[in-house]
Amino acid sequence: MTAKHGDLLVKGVTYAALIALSAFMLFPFVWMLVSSFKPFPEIFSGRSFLPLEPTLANYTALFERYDALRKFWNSFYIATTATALSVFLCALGGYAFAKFHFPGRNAMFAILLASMTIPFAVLLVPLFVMMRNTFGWIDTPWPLIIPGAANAFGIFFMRQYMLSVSDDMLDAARIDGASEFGIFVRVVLPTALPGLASLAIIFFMASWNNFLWPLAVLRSEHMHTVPIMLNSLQGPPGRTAFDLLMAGSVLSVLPMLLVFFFLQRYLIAGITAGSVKG
Amino acid sequence: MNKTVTKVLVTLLALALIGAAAAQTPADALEPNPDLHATLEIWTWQGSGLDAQAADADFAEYYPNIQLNYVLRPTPDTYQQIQLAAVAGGGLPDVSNIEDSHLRQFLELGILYDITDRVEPYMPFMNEFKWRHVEGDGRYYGMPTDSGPVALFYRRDVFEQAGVDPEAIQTWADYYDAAQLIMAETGVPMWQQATARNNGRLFEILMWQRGLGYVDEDGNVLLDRDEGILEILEFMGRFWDEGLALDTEEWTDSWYRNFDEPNVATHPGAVWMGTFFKGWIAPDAVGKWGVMRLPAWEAGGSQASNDGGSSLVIFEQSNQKEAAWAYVEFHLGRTASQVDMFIASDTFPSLETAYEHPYFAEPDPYYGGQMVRELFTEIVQEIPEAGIYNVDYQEMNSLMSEQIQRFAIGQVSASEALAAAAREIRSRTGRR
Amino acid sequence: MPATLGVAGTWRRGPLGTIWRHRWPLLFVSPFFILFAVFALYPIFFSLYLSFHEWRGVGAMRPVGFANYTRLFGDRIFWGSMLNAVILFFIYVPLMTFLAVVIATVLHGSFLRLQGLWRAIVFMPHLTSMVAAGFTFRLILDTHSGFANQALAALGASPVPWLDDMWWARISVGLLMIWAWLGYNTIIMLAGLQTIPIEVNEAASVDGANRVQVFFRITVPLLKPVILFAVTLSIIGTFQLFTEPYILTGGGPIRATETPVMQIFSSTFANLRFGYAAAMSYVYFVTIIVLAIVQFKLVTRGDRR
Repeated sequence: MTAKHGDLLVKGVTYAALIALSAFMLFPFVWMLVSSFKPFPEIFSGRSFLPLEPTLANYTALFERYDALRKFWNSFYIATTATALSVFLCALGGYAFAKFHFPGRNAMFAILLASMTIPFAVLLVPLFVMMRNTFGWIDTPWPLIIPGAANAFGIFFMRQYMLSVSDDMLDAARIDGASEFGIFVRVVLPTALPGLASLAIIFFMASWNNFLWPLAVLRSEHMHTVPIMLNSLQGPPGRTAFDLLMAGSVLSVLPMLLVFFFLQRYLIAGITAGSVKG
Repeated sequence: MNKTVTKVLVTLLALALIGAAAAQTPADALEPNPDLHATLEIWTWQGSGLDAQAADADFAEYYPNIQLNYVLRPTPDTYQQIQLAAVAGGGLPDVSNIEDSHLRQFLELGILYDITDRVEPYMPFMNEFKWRHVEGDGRYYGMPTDSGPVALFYRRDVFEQAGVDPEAIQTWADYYDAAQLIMAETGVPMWQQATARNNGRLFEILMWQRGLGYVDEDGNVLLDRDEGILEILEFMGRFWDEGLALDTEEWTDSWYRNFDEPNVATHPGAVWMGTFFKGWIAPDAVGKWGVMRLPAWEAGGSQASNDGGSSLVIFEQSNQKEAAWAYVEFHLGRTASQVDMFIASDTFPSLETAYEHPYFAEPDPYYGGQMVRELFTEIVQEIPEAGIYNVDYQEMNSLMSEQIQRFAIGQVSASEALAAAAREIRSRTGRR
Repeated sequence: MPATLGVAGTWRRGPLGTIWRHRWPLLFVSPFFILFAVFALYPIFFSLYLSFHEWRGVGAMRPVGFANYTRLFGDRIFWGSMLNAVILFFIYVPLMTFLAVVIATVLHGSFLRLQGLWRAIVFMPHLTSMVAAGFTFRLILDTHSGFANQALAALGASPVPWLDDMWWARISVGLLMIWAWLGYNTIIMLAGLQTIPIEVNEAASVDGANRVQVFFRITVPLLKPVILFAVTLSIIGTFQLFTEPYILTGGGPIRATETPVMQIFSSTFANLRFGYAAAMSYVYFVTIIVLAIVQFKLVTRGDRR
C-alpha cells in the first residue's frame, strides 16, 4: 500500500514539474502569438494578456510593406538547396570514415573534429573578401550553400550513423560487381534514410535561422531571408516595430514546427545516433 | 501716417525682399537636365528624411532619366555593409547617408569621393559646424543632410503645478534648484537618465554645449584634463544621488510612456525628438510641451548643443558620380527640397536658406503655438565646435558609457570614471 | 598518358599507388577537405597573418610584430569578456545539464503518458530563430513594462531588474540559453540512457532503493561520459555565444554580458582594428581548444573507469 502511495506521489510530483516546465518552455511562444494580434500600443499597455482588439493588420502589413512572401521563399529555397547538398556530401564523407580504412584516416578525422571548434566570427571577414573578390558571390545564395556544404558536424554525425551499416551487405554488393559509388547510392543511402532525414532537419533548421552570415552577404532587399527581415524591423532612433516583429516571429517559427511535428521521430532517433558514440 | 516713416518702412521691406531674394543657393536656379541617365543606389535608414522621398517627385521632373533605388537598413547594418564592401574593394552604393558620428571612419578609409569643388559654393549657406565632420586635410567628402540642434523640452503642466517659471531657468544651477522644487511640489523627477544602461548621449550633449569633447583640437584626450567635463559628470551624478532622475533606458517603451504620463518634467534633446513626441510618444499632449534653450553653465554662456545629424556621401567607386552629385545637390542644396523634407519628416535642414521659408516662422500648435521652429533655427546657428565626433567615436563612446554606468551605480567617483575612460582611450587609440 | 601506362607497374607500389588503391574513400571525403581548405584554412591563415599587422580594412597593412598580442594580454575588456563567458557557463550549464538528465530519466521511464508531447514541448524552443526568441525575451523581461514583472507584481513580489543589473542580466541570458538549449541536451541524455541496460535499474529497485536513490547512485554515474560530452559541447557553445546576448542585452549593462565573440565583432566592425581582432580570435580560439582537450581527457577517463 505505502509503495503504491509513494508511486502516486512521485507521479503527481513528476506531472506537476513537467507542467511547470512546459509552461516555461511554451510561454514565450504563447506571448509571441498573442502579441502578434495586438495593435502596437496594446503590446505594452499591460492592460490585458489577450488582445482587446485582435487584428490581423500586423500580418498583412508584413506581406504588403515588407514583401514577406518573397523572403519566406528565399529562406525556403536556400534552406532546401543547402540541406540537400550538405546531406549528400556529409553522408558520403561519413560513410568513408565509418566503413573504409585508408592512410591518414585518423589524422583527417582529428582535423575534422577540431574544425568544429572554429568560431564563425573568426572567418567572417576573410570569407567575405573571398566571396566578393574570388567568387563574385555577393548578393547570391551561393555563400549560404557552398562553403558549409561539407559540414564537419554533419560528417561526424553520419559517421556515427553509418557505423551500424552491416559490412556483410556491402561485401555482398561488391561481389555482385557494383561500383563503390553505386553501392553508396543503392545500398548505403537507403539504409541510412532515418539518419539522413534527421540530419536534413538539423541543417534545414540551422539554415532557416541563420543570421550573421546572410546579413553580411545578402545585400538587396529582394534577396533577404526571414531573420534579416525581422532584424530590419528595428528602427533606430525611432521605435522598433515590435508588432510586426512578433507577427514575423510567429510566421518564422511555424514552418519549423510543422517540419518538427511530422518528422519528430527521425529527429530524435538521429540526434541519438549522433551523440551516443561520441 | 508720417510720410518719412512710410518711406523708411517701404525701403526696409524692399531691402528685406532683396535680402530674401539674394539668399538663393546655386541649386535653387537649377535647370532640368534630361541628359543624365543613371540608376542610383542610395543607402539610408527609416526616419532619415530621405526615405520619406518628399523631394523625389520634383527630382523626377528635373532629372527624368535618373532612377532612385533606396535601400533602408538599421544604421549599424548599413555601416557593417559599407565596411565589408570597403574591405572587399567593391559592392558600395552610389550614395549613402551617414551619421556624422560615424562618417570620419569612412572618410579616413579613403573610400569617399572628394566633392570639394562641388560643395564650395554651398558653404556659406549651410551650418558652419557641420562642415567639420566631412572635412579631411582641407578637402570635403560629404554634404550635410540635417543638423541636430539641442534644446530643453519641458512639460508646461508640471512646471505650472510646481509653480516654477521656465523663463527663470538661466543656468544649470537654476535647473537643479527647479528640479528640487518640482520634486518637492509634484514628485516628478526632472529627467530620465539610465544608470547601468546609460548610453553616454546626454554627457556628450553637455560637453558639446561647452565646446568640450573626448578630445581637444589637436586630437589629444581631454576627458581627464578639463574641470568643465568633471563638473558635467558630477552634475549628472547629483540627479541620480538625490533621486531627481528617473532610471529608464532610452528608446524603450517605459521611456516613451514616462514622457506621456508625465513621469518626467524635462528632456534635453535634439530637434528630431519633436517628431517622436508628435508622432507616437505623446500625440495627445498638444499644448503640454514647451521648448527653451539649454540652461548655460555660467551666466551668458553657450546655450546651444548638437546631438546626431547626418551627411550624404558619394563613394569613390561609383561610376555614376555626375548623377550621384545631381541627387545630393538637388536634395540638400535646394531650398525647396529641404523645406519639403523638413515638413514631411522633421529632419532639421543644415541649409540655412530653408529657415527663411514661411513655415519656419509659423507657430507650432503642438507646443501651444510656441514659435519652436524659429527657436531651433537660432540655436542651430550658435552650435559650438566640439571634439565629439571623430574617427574613434564609437570606441570612445563605448568606453565612456561604461564608466558613466559605473559612476551612476556608485562603483567609482566621477574623476575616477573620467580617468579610467581617458586611460582606456589612450591605450586603445594611441592618442595622448 | 602512354608514359603513365608504361610505368604503371612501378607507381602502383609508390605513394601514388596507395592513393589509387584508396581512391574511393579518399574521393568520398575530398569534398569536405577541399571546401575546408578553401573556405576555412585559407581564412585561418589569413587571420594569423593579419594578427601581426595593423590594418583598417583598406590600404596597406603595417607589420607590428607581436604588438597586438602583447597589448591583448593587458586588455581588461577582452579578458572581462572571457570571464563573462566563464560566469555565464556556470550560471546556466550546471542547472541545464542537471535538468536535462532528470527530464531524460523521467521521459525514459515507462510510467509516463504522452511521452511524445512532452518531448516535443521540451525541444520546441530549439527550433526558434534566435532573433525572434531574443526579441521576445527582451519584451517579456523589460523591467518596467515586461510581462515577467507584471506577473511578479500580481503575486505581490517586487520587480526584478532583469536586464538592468549586471548579475540579473547574466541570469536573464542564462534563462534564454536554458530555454533554447534544454531540449537539445535532454535528447543527448535520452540517447545516453538507451545504452544503460534496464536490468541495472531493476536490480536496484529490487534492492529497495527508491527512485531518487537509483537516479543519483546508478543513473548519473553510468551516464557520466554522456554528461561530460554534453558539457564539452556547452563549453564550446558558451564561448561562441553571440546572437543571444547581442539581441537580448547588447552586452550590457557595464559589459556584464559581453562575450568574446562580441568583442571580436565590435573590434572588427565598430573600431576597424582588423589586426587586433585577428589576434583576439587566435587567443580565444586556442583557449577553446585547450578547454575542449581538457574536457575530452575527462571524457575518456570517464570512459575507462
